[in-house]
Amino acid sequence: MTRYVGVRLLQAIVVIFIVVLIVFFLLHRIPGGPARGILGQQATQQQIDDFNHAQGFDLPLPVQFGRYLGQMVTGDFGDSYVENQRVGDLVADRLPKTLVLTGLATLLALLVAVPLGVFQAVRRGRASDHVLSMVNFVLYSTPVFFLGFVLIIVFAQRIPLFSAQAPQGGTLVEILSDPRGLALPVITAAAGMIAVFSRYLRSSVIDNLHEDFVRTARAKGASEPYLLRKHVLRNSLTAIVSMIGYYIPVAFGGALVVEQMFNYPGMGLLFWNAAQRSDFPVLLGVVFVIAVATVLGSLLADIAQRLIDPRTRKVTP
Amino acid sequence: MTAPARSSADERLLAFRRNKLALVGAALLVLLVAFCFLGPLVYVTDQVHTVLEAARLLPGEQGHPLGTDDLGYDVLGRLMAAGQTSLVIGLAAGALATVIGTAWGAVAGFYGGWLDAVMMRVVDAGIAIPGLFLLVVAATLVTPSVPVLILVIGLVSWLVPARLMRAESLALRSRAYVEAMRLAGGTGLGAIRRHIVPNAIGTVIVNATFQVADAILLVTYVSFLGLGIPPPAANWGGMLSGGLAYSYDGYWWLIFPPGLLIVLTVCAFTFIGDGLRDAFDVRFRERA
Amino acid sequence: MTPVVEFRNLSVRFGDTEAVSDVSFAVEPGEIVAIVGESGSGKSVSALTTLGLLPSTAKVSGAVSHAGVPITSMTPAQLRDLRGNGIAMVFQEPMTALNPLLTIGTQVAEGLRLHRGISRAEAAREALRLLELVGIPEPERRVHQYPHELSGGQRQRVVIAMAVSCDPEVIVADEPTTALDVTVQAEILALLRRLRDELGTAIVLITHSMGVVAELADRVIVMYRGEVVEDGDVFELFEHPRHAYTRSLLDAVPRFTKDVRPGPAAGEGPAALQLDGVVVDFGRFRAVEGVTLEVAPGEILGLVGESGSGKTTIGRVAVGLVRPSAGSVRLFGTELNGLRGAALRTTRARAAMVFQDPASSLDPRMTVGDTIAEPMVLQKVGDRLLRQRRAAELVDAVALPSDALSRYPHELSGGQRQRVSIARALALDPGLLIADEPTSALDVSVQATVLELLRSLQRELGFSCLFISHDLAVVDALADRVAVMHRGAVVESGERTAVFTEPRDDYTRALLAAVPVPDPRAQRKR
Repeated sequence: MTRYVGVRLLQAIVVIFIVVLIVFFLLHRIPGGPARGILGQQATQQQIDDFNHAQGFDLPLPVQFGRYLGQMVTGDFGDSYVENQRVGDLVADRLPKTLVLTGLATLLALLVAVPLGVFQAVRRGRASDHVLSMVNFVLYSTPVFFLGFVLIIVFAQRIPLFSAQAPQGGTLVEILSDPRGLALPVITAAAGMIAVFSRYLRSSVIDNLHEDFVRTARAKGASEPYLLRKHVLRNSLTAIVSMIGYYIPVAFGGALVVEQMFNYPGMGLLFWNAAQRSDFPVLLGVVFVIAVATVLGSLLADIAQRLIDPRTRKVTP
Repeated sequence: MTAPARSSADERLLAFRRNKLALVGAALLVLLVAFCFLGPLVYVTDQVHTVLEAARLLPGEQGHPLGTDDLGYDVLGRLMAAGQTSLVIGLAAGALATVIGTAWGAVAGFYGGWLDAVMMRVVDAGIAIPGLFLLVVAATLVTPSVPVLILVIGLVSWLVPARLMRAESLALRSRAYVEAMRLAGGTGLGAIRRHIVPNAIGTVIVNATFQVADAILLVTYVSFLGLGIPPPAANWGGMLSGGLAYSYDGYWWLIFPPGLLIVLTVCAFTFIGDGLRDAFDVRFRERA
Repeated sequence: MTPVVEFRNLSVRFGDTEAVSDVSFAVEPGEIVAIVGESGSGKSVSALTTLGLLPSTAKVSGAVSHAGVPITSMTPAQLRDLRGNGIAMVFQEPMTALNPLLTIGTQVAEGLRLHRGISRAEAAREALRLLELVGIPEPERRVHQYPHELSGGQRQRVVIAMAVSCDPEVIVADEPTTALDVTVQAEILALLRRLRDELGTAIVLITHSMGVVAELADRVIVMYRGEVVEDGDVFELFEHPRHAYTRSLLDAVPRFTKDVRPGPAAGEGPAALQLDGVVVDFGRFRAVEGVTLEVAPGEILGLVGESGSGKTTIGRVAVGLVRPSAGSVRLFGTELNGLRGAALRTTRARAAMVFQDPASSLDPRMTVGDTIAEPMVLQKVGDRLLRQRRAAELVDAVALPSDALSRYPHELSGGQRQRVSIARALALDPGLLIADEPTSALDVSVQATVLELLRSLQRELGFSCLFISHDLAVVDALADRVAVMHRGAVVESGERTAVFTEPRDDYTRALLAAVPVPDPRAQRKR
C-alpha cells in the first residue's frame, strides 16, 4: 500500500509537470505575447522590449519554463491584468465557493442516483427501467444552461420556491445561509451527474448480481434484498468511489456554466469574466489550480478505493 | 457451456434492433439530418441579410411559421442552417477525437512499459484540465470558425477514447492469436493494425457515438459562454443562448425550438450508442 | 426410506433447445451419486434445478423433489428455506465463489445466520468449528482473513465448509475439483468422502471426469445430450458398461501404459531447443529457477507440472515471448538472447505455438482461411494463390472439411478451433512446435481425437515438440521423454516409461499417486 501510494504520488507529480507544460505553451500563444496583453495595443516596441526584459521573457525558453515552474509550484500565478490583485488571492477566495457548490451537487446526485441505479438494475428490462433510462438520457442530453433556464422558469417564477439569483455573499457562511439561492445552482449542477452516476451504478449492480459469489450466497438461502445489501452494494461502492474520481474534471466544467448562469461567485465565474477581458494570468492560474485539484481528487479516490478493498488494503501471508 | 466468442454481424443487428431506444435514436437521427440538410431545399429562406423591420415576429406572423429572431432571420430556416453547423462540428470533432484516441491508446496499451507510462501521464494531464476551460482559453486566442472548433474540440476530447482503447489493447495484446502472429514474424504495429484495432472496434464505435453527443454539447456551451462562431453563421447553441438573453421577455420561440433540437440530437446519439453497446457487448446479450 | 432428492421426468427447455429431457433418478440418504457427461449434456442444468436456481428463461416440466416435497413448485420463501439448509451447493470455481470483500468467517457462518438466526458470537464459534472440520490449518487466523489470502484448494475447503454449515441432507457439487491441481483434487475428494462418512450427507457429484467418478461415487448416472443413457453401481458400470456412449467415455480417458512405443526417428543437426540455466523473474517473484533442458530433433518432450510450476513460462521463453533474467535459450543452435527486430522475427518463425484456450486462440474477425494463411503473409511466402492452396492442404491435414476455410471461429466447436490452431502453427513448416495445454479446455472424447491428430502429424512431418501439460495421462499418451517441473525447477526428467513407472523424485511420486485412474477398485485401495 505504501509503495502504491508512493508510485501514485510520483505519477501525480509527473502529471502536474505536464499540466504546467501545457499551460506554459498556452501562455506563449497569447497574441503579441504577455507584454501586449498587459501594456495594451498602443505600447511602443521599446516599452514592450523593456517589459519583456524585466519579466525575463527574453531568456531562452527552457530557462523561462524553469522559472515558471518554480512560480506555479509555489502558488505565485502573477498579477491580474485587469484587477489590481494577485491571481493567487483571487483564486484562494473563489475556490472554496466552487468546492461548496460542486460538493453539494455531488452529494445530492449520489443521494438520488444510488437508489435510482439500484432500482433500475433490479428491475432491469422492465417498463420502469426503460422509462427511467429514457429520462436519464434526456437529462444527460440537456445543456446545463437550458435546464437551468427551465428550472428558473418553473421554480423561481411560476412557483416562487427558490431564488433565480445565487447567493452573493463574500464568505462561505453567507453563501450557506441562503438555501433558497443555493438550491437551483446545486440542482442544476447535480442533474447531469445524476444521469451519469445512476447509469454507472446500474451497470455495476447488474455486473455484481451476476458474480459467482452472489450465486453462492443465493444458494445459501439469502433473500434478494439481503443479497443487494450485503453482497452487491458493498462491491459497487468501489465503483462509485472511482466514478467520483473520474467525474471531478467534468464537475468543474459544469460549474463553469452553472456559475455563469446563476451569477455564483466561484472559480467558474472568475474564469469566465477573465475570458471576456483576456485576463490571461487569471485564466491560466485557474486552469492550473483546477488541474491540480483534479489530480489530487483522483489520487484520493484511487487510494480510498484501495482502502475499501481488502485485496489491496493489506497483505498478510 | 461454450458460447461463441463473438456473434456474427446478423446477431449484432438483431441485438441492436431489440433495443427499442436505439431504434428510436436511429429514426430521430434520420429525421434530424433530413430536416437540416434537405429542409432548406424545400423551405428556402434568407439567412445572410438581416431584416430589422421584421424582427421578433411571433410564430405564424407574415409567413414565418416559427417567427423571426432579433435580427429578422426566419427561425425555422435558421434552425435548419444552424443544425447543419452543429451536426457537422459534432460528427467531425467526434471522429477526430476517436481517431486520435484510438491510435494513442492502442499504441500505449500494446507496447506497455515506459512508453505507456509516459503516454498515459499525458492523457491524465489532459483529463485534469476540463475540456471546456481549454476551449474557452483557445477561443480567446483564435477567432472561432467551424474548422477551428472541430480541431479544438477534437483535440480536447480524445483523452477518454484513448483511455478506453488502452484498456482494450492491454487485454487484447496477450490473446493467443496476437502472440501467434508475432511468433510468425509479425511486427507490433502490424498486430495493432490487423488484430488489436479490429477487435476493439465495438468499444471504439460505441464511444464514438458518445463523443459526437458530447461534442455537440461542447459547441453549445462554448456558444453560451459567448465564444462561439460569430454571426451570420449560426449553430443551435448560439441560437439558444441568443434566445436566453430575451428569456424574461416571453420570446419562447427563440428558446425552446433550438433547445429541444439540441436535446433531441444528443439523445439520438446516446440512444444509438446504448443500442450499439448492447449489440457489441456479448456479455450483456447472454444475460438478457 | 424417502430419497433425499428425486428427479421425476424432468425436462428443461431454453427457447428451442431442450437441455434436459425426461430425466428420472433418485438419491438415497448418505449416497454419493455422480452425474457424468460432457459439456452440453445437461448435467449442470439438472444440478441448478435442485436449488431452483435456473434462469427465468428456462421452461421446466416434470418434478424434482426434496424429501418428498416438489422443489419445482415451491414459493420463493420456501426455496430460500431449502437452499443451504436442505440442499447445499459447491460450485466449480473457488476463485470467484467467495465475496472478496467479506472475511472467511463471515461467509462460512452466513448460512447459519440466515437459517438459524444465531448471534454474531455464536456464528464466529461455528465458523471456527466448520473450518476445523474441513481441515483448514490455523482456523483461528483464517476466519479473519479474506478470500484472496487463501490458495485455491483452501478456498474450495471454505466453500465446502459453507455447504455443510447447516447440516443439509444433500450437497450438490458441480465440478468441485475441475479448477484445481491434481494433488489438491485428491485432497478435496478425500474430504468430501470423509464428510459423507462422518455426517451422513448425500452428495450429488457433477463431473466430466471418469477418474473422479471412480474415486468417489457409489452410483453413476451417465448423461448425453440431455438424456440419461446409463444408471448403475460404480463397479458394475466400469466393468460392464452397457451403453456405447459410456464405453466411449471410458475409452477416451487417457491411461498410463507401460507399453513401449517406437522411439523418435533420430534427427540430425543441433537440438531444436536448448535451455541452459534459465532464470525468469516477474518483479520480485521468481517464476523459473535455473532450468536446463533440451528438445532433440524429431522428439516430443512432455513438460509436466501443476499451476504455478513455471511450465508455461518455459514455453514462452523458448520463443522469446518472455526474456529470461539469466541463462541461454538456443533455437536450432541460434541464441535468442540479444536478438531483436528482424533477426528475432526470422529466427523464431522456425518455431510455432498452439495455445490452451480455444476461445481466444483465433481472431474472431478472421476466417479460418485467413487465419491459417497469416503466417505465410507475414513471412511473404508465395503469392495469394499458393497461400490459398497451402491453407486448403493444411485444413485437410488437420481433418477439417474444406468448407471450413470460409468459416469464422464462432461457427466452430472447441475441438475444431484447436485443429485450426494446429494448422496455423504448421503453416510455415516449423521445426519445433510448442503446445501449451492444447487439449485441457476440451471434452475428453474431443481431447483424444486432437491428441491422436497431433501424434500422427508429428510422425508424418517429423517436427520436434515441446508438449506442456498438467495432465500426466495426456503426456503419457504422447511424449517420448518427460520433464517434471515443480516451483520453477525441473525436478526430474528422462524417458517417459522410466519417469512414470520408476519415479525417483518425491514430488513426481506424489503427483503420480494423486492422478485419478478410471478404475474404482484400484482407487479404493489407495
